[in-house]
Parts: sequence; C-alpha cells; structure tokens
Amino acid sequence: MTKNLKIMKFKIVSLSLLAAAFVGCSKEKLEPIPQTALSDAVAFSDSARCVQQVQGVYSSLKAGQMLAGRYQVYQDVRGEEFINRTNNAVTAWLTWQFNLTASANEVQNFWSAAYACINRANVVMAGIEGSPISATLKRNLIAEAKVVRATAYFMLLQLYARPFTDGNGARPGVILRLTPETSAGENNRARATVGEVYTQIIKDLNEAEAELPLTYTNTEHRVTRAHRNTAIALKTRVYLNMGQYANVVTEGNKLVPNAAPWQAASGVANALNASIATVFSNYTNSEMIFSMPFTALDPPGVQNGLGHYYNPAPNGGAEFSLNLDPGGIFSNADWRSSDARRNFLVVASGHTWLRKWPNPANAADWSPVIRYAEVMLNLAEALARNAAGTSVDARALAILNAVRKRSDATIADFAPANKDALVALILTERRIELLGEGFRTSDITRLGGTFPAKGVVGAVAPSANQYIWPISLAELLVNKSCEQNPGY
Amino acid sequence: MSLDHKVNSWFTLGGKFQYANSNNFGVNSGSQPGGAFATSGIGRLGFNLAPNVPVFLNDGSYNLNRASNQIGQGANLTALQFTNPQVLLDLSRFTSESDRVIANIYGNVKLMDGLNFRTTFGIDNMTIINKTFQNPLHGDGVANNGNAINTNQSYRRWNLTNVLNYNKSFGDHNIAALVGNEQQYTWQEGWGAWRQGVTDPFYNEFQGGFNTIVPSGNFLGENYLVSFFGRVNYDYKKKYLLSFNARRDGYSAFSPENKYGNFWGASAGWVVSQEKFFENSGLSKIFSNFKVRGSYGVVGNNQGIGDFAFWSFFSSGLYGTNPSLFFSQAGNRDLRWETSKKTDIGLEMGFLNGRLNVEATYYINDVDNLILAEPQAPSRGIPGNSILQNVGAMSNRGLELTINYNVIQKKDFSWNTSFNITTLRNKVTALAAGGADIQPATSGLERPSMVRVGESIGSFYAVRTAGVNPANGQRIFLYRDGTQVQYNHAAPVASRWTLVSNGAVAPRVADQANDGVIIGPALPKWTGGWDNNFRYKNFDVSMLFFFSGGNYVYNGTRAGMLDQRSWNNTTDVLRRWQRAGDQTDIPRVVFGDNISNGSGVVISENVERGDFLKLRNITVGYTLPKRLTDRAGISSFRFFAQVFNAFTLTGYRGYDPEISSNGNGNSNPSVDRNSVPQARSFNIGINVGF
Repeated sequence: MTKNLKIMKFKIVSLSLLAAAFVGCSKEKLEPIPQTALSDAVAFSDSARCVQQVQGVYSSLKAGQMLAGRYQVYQDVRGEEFINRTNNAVTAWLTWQFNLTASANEVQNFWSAAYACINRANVVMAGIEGSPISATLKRNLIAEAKVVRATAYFMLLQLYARPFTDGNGARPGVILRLTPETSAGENNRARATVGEVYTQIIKDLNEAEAELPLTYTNTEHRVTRAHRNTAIALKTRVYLNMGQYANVVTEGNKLVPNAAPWQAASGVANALNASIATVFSNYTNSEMIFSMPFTALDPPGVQNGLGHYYNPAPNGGAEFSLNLDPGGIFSNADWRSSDARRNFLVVASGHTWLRKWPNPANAADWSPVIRYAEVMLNLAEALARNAAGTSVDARALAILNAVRKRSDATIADFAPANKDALVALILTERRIELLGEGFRTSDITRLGGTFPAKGVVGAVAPSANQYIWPISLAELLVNKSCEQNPGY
Repeated sequence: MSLDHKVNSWFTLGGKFQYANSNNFGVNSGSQPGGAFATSGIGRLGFNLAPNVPVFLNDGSYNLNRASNQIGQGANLTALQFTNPQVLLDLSRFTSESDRVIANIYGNVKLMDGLNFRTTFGIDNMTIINKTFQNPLHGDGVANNGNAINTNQSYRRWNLTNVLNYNKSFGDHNIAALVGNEQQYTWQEGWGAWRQGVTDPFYNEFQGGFNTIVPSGNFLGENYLVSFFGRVNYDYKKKYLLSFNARRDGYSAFSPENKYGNFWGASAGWVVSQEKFFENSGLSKIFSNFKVRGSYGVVGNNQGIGDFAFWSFFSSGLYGTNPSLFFSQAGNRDLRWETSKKTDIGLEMGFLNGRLNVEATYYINDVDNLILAEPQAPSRGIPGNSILQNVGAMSNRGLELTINYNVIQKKDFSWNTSFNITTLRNKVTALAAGGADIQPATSGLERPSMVRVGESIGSFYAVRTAGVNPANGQRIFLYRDGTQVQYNHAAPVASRWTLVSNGAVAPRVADQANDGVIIGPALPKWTGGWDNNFRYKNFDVSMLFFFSGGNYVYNGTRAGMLDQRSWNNTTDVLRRWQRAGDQTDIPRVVFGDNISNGSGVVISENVERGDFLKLRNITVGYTLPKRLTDRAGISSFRFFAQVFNAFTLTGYRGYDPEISSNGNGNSNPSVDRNSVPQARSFNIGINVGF
C-alpha cells in the first residue's frame, strides 16, 4: 500500500514539474511586433525618416492611377487627338467615349488615389510638425508636401468639377480635407465650391514658395522634388485655368525673362532646351521643372504608364493612336514635317502613334508634370489676352516664336494680325507642344469650349452632363453629405 | 504512419507522421479570386474569343497581331481584344509544388484510476514553390520581353496541448471531466524574385539569361493562439445527460486590451425511450429510441484577419531610386474577438428496431462583433479605404433533418439510404456607420453583391430590366421609382438614354447607385443530399445526390457573352431584335455596346435562380470472392469505377450553378464571372487489403 502511494506521489510530483514546464502561455508571442514596417510611434523620429516620409508623399502623386500616366491620358483622350483601338473599359475606353457611370473604374480609382495622396500629405505635415528635427528642415519638408497636396486638388478639379471660369468658382467642387485621417472618424462631409478649393490651392502654393529651398545639390532632386521655381510654375498653370491672366503674368515674370536666353533668373536654372528630343530622353535636363521618376524596382504598374497607352507592342498596349482626320492636330497645315516634334510620331501596323515615351514598362520613361516650355506658353497666352484693345503683345509673340523655332528653326516668324489671331496661334502651339502630356481637357473647359467629335464619338457641349466626370460611387455610398453631379 | 507504444502500466507513448507532396502544372485559368477579368485567363478565352479566326496561319505560325499583342483579327473589320491561347499553352508555364509534413508525438500518463494526463506536441510544416514563366512572344510577358517568377512560401506551425482528464463511475452516475491548455504558434514567410527580359529567345527557365531582377512574393508574419479550457460531462444511467464547458482564448492579432475572450457552453439530453413510462406505454412499440437534446454556447472566432490587424503602421517603398516611408495601415485599438451564440434543439428518433433513424435539429447561430473591413469614405484617404472593426452582426437559423434507413438487410442484398436537408435563413442584423451598405467587388471591378442590414449576406443588387422595347430594340431599364428608360449606344453621347414613354432624353443614366434593388439572396436557403448504397452479392453500387436552392446566381459570364465589342456571343444573339415589332429578349446589336448586356451596369436579367440537383458521385464496385483472395494471401480485392459530377439538373443558363469566382470570400458568394466549371471525372481503381 505504501509503495503504491509512494509511486503515485512520485508520478504526481514529476508530472507537475513537467506540466509546469509545458503548460502556460508566452507573453512575447502573444504580442508580436511587425518586422517589416514601422509603427506610428517611431515613423517621424529623425531627419532621415522625415525625408523618407516626404518621398512617400511624392510617390503617391505618381501612383499608377495618377501621374504615372492615367491622369494625363484621361485629360487627353477626352479631346480630339486620339482614337481608341482596344475598346477596353480598364484602359480609358469609357472616358474616351464619354460613357462613364459612378461605378466606372477610372472614376472610383482616380478619386481614391488622389485622396490617398492628399491624406498622406496631411499625415506627413502633421507628423513632421511634431518631430524633433531642425526648424529649417521642417519648413522645407512641409512646403514640399503642400506642393503635392495642391497638385492633387488641382487634378481632382479638372475632372470632377466644372471649371472656375463657369460661374467664377461658385459651382460644386470636391471635398476639402486638410487634417490627417488615421483612424475611424466622420465620413460625412459636403463638397466645397470650386472657388474654395482653388483658394486653398493658391494658399498652399504661396506658402510653399516662401519656404521651399531654392535648389538641391543632387541634380536628380532638382527634377523629382519641389523647389521654389516649382511652386511658381504651378501657379502659372493654376491661374491660367482660373482665367486670372494678370496673376499669370505676375508669376510668369518671376521665371521668364523679357527676351532670349529663355532661362529662370534665380533658383534652379530652368530653361528652354535647344532640342525637344533631349527634353524627353535626358530625364534631368534643365527644362523639366518637375517630373516623376521610374525604375525597374519602382515601375508605373501594369496598364498605367504613358508608354503603355501610346506605344504599340512590344513596349506598349497600342491603346490609343493618333487621329488623322482634319480635326486632329496631326493634319494642321502649319505644323511642318521639318518640325522636330513630328519625329515623335511613328507609323506601325497602319496607324500613327505618339512615341514621346518609347521605353517598356519595366524601364519606363519619367512622367513629366511641368516644364519650362509650358510656363512660357502660359505666360504668352496671359500677356496676349491682357493686351489693350486688339493689339498684339510683342513679348507674347516673341515667346511663341521662341517655342516654335526651338523645334522648327527655319520657319518664318508668326505675324498675327490681331489679338485674337495671336491667342489662336498660341492655343494651337499648346496642342502641338504639349501633345500627350495631359492638357487638352483643361484647355477646352477653361475656355467653355466643346469637346470636338472624333472617330465614332460625337461632340460634347458644355451643357451636356458628360462634360465632367461623376463622383465616385464608393464615396456616395458612405458619405451622405456629398452630392452627385447632375445627370449621373 | 502512426504508432502507439505501451511502455508500462501507466505510461503510453505514441506518434503520427504524415508526408504529402503535390505538384500542380497548369495554365492561368482566370478562376482564382481576383482573376475574373484577366485577359489571359483560359476560362474567359474559351468563351469570348471570336470563332472565325484560326489559331495557326497557313504557314504554320501562330495567328498574332504583334502590334496590339492580341490574336490576329483575320477577316474581321476591327481588331480583336484577346490573346491567342495556343501560344500561352505552348510557351508559358505555371507550376506549383508543395511539401507538407504533419506529425505529432504524445505521452499519456495514468496517474491513478480514472485520472489521465496527456501531453501532445504536433507540427504542421508546409513549403510551396511556385514557378511561373510568361513567354516574350505573346500574352502577359510581352511588355517585359519575358517574365520568370519564382516564389517560395513557408508555413510552420507547432501545437502543444496538455489535458488532464478524469473518468469515473459512481454506481449509475458517470462523470467525465477535463481541464487543459493549448498553445499554437504559426510562422509564415514568403520571398521570391521576378526576372524580366530574356537575353535570348531560347531561355524559359528562371536561371536563364535575363536583363533585370526585382523582388516578388515577399511576406512575413506570425500569430499565436493560447487557450485554457475545461469540460464536465455527467450522465445518470445514460438516460439523463448534462455537459458544461468553458474556455479562455487569447490571440495575438487583437489589441493589447482585448487579447483574451471568455466563452462557455452547456448542453442537456434526455433519452426518453429509457423511461419506465415510455417503455410501458404503447410508444415503445413505435419508437426504438427517442431522445431530446438541446445546447447553448458562446463561441469565439478569430479567423480571416491579418497577423498585425490592430496596428497602425508605415511601410517602406521607393520613389525612383530614393527610399520612402508611407502610411499603410490604419489600425484599430479596440479590435477583439468575434462571438457567436449558438442554440440547438434536437430530437433523435429510432423506428423499426433501429433500422430507421430520424434526427431533427433546429439551430440558431447569431454572430456578434462580426469583424468587417468597415468601408471609409475614400475622401478620407485611409489606406485600403477600410478599417477592421467589430461592427457587424448576423443571424443564421434553420432546420437540419437527417433520415437514415436500412431498407433491406438480407444476406445477398442490402440497401441503405440516407437523406439529409439543411435550411438556412441568413440575415445581416447590424453594420458599421449607422448600417451603411457594403458592396464587395468581384476582382475589384464589378459589384453585384450587397451586404445590407435586413438582407442575406451577399444578396444581389441590380438595376431592374423589363425586356426589350419591340418598337426600337433597345433594352428597357427601370429607375428605382419605376420609370422606364431605354439605352441606345448608336445615339449621340448626350441622348443615349431616353424615356420609353415619349422618347425624350432621360434626366440621367440608370445605374446601381440610383436604381439598384435587392433581387434576392446569394446564399442557398436549402441544401442537402441523398445517399444510397446497394449491395448484391459481390457487387456494390453507391449514389450520392446533392441538391441546393432557394438562392440566385449572378451570371456575369453571360453578360460577357452578349457584350458587343469584339467578343464572341452565345447563339442567343441569333434571336436579337431586327425590325419594329420583334418580340425578343436580346436587344438590337450595336458595335461597342457594353451597357445593354449587363457588362457596364449590373442588370436583373443576369441574376438567375440557382436551384440545382447534381449526381455528385456514382460508384460501382465488385469484390472478388473470398475463396479466391484467401489463396493469394490477400484479405480483400475490389475493382471499382466512379463518375464524379455525372450530371446536373438546373434552370441556370451558365455552366455550373455551384461556381464562385470569389473563392471563399464570405460576403460575395455565388458570382459566376468567367470561371472554369467543375469537371466531370471518371475514375477506375482497385482496393486491396492485407
């Protein structure tokens, strides 16, 4: 009896020891720390991380749905220069034929990507404000985020809202968000007016102009990150779209001199490059004020890059070819075959294609945002329109000739008879110079124009509901204060 | 392989070991979740390619349009939109090989009479290697001049369970009790690389010559589950049964204040047929067995969330060549266990001396604190536009009935039949943001499913259509208020939508946001099976029928097959409207129209009833007579032939009403978009016993 009891006691004791070793739970395993990301507590802890955060903000501006190529394509294919070849609803076919609904993927994806970019800028601005870095660096970095935020709001207005010139900014704009959103919160918010959004854009760019660095030591950063001249250049574009020509002149004069050499007097030496081919092949040339970089490790993404839309296979998807009908710029009589910009147009498989971005997706060409030639043309148009009576502004004419002769050196100087003729010549020059770079929609809508017919698609007048995009369905499902555009 | 070894009177040791290797070789079927709209999905290519172009040209080369990277258009007037599948089958390759080891070892100590301690340690390790080659000539590999992607995934899990149990009988009272602890740790890791641009067309392996290499398939995570549990079972003479259990579970992905959840359950049973009054009354002549049972329990669920679900964090990326950091997950510091309250009431009855058994159970399963990715307004810019929250609630109730009958049990012939049916009434009872609807997408592009309070989860939400207008061949859509509008793709942009009543331009387009209505549930309301096993001498036959219904299926594939771009159509298009007065359900064809057929707008025309009956399995077998096999030293030898998915009876116009293009997505079931149907397969084989 005692022996059995002893054996049992032995078993119980040894088992309890064994059990104590095995049973239980592990506190560190119950609270694992992610190894491949940084928690919000440490993400702004030093200057290296803060600079990386700002690079992250730029990265969202060149997201696949945004300036990697889709924004420029949406702007241009609504105009008359391109014919759709693939009927693919994933690659801007519905945009091209003005047949969008609130659930269309370009409508939802672009809205979502633009606001992701805006929230990133807001989160970074707040995070940097609270971080322990030097005051100068804080001001520079926050100013860079403001430039990105202003650009994103500008892009949203071009597609989802009526132009400023229609009602002087009183029409419904887009939703304004200026504070970071990082957790559950209020989803309902009404749309601000077009005027209120433009006021915020100008405010951001003005504040940025005062705080941005004049230049960067790294030559790549002079093109991929914002500097003071970037903010000024963007202001010329914004004021032109608002129809405020006097302001365009004020800003343009900060960058464009009275005569050749056409070069910015201070800050980064942005200038009109002697060869248009170099502008697109040498990504960091001085004409590029702001451009989005790509590498094999950071590509635009499938069906997103400018090269994909405009190049035939193998480098592209042959989505849009040039419109060779009389209405397209291709047939313009003044655009001579000796013009260097004609070299961007190549023929393949019976169609003509735009080859400004010839490389394949995994070695994609950088995506231009703003360059010196556009600033010159913005200024020229504003000067021309502001001239007294019907007179021809001499400086505007000189700028126009400079841009034309950069590509077609032997053409005779333009000699328009009056102000209207000069403005018409400048608008045509924009169509030739900025073909494919994302300006056609804005250039039509800011002047209250009609989208011309092309291929099987009819013309679309300003009175049509399809003149602007519908608001994203995903927004309307959750945000009960947001109103849809009429007709959708 | 499994092993049990009795070391001595109180200690037993044992273990189990299992190894499986599987190798899959296939093409991109387009049937995985997320692949429904891929232009190289073989399922979709089979449906949508034009039938009037050849695969090979007369000189033997592939029929390709090199400039557009699509199949050549032949004599068609417009370019075609899809790839030539023969090139993909010949020159591209997708393989997946997996190795899995599942093993455990246990030790069982008998402490004293009735008291046992058992500890078990198990592992489940799996490695998967995926290799993809996309050829540079045609298809997805053209843009990069050839892609070779190899990824390696490792999943490692260990499990440690310690249980102390006690079984004792005191006269007619029987008790079984246990307490235990279980820990489970899972580690998952993936890494791989993507090589782009073959340097010579000869190469088609990852290790060949390529220009560029970038990373692919990287992920890293771990999670940990720990539980403490106990249970007591008591019965008196096996006539009155009671059970009670309780547990406390902790899971690493929940927020620090909410790691643990407490759950419990209780059940009771009464075998009425053993009562004296039952045996004495006439009822015992009818019922050989009569049992009443019921149970109630609260159960926790932690499945379907990421390993670091409650964290807010910033991820790393690149801006050109510069490193970047960006806000990538908006977390939730209140994330906690999902709970279900399950109630069951049941009856078990036996008749005819146990030859006929009937079991009926009524169940109520209410899920609370349902973890949902609560959609955020995209204008807030939250990454992914959603935040995981415990905000949903859902209820499931229904009846389960099983009938088992040994019809005939003779020496030479026996027939056993078993029938079961389950009914389900599912309803979403609460959602986030004041009950805001959630519309999950199919592969990110189409949203026929709706999660809405008061409806079954994933119900179909579509614009109602009312046939085709015989006067002009245009499809008629209904606004939510019932106004009829019609769509004409051939009209100028601003006047494509007109009112049916007077032809005036309609005030707006018809779309889901403005005009969608709930058409019906996607989850079946009833499912069941009927199994029959026959044996005649040495032959055996078994048949298993499966049926399901009461729900709808969204036939997105049909929408695609009436699309009027350069896509192939079904023969239904032969009865399209052609002149005034034609009564038909197919509208007038206009090139480029993707609205009238339901591709651009989800229409009720494509939401079809999903009731079906399938013969899942029929098997015929023959066992050799014992006297033959005994001579060879074999204890049994049987030949068999089987057919799986022999036939389906259904009114559904698609290939298979049991399809789900969204895989296991729990909020968007029964969507059929370009998925390959289940195959019918014929097997023959032998069973040998020693």
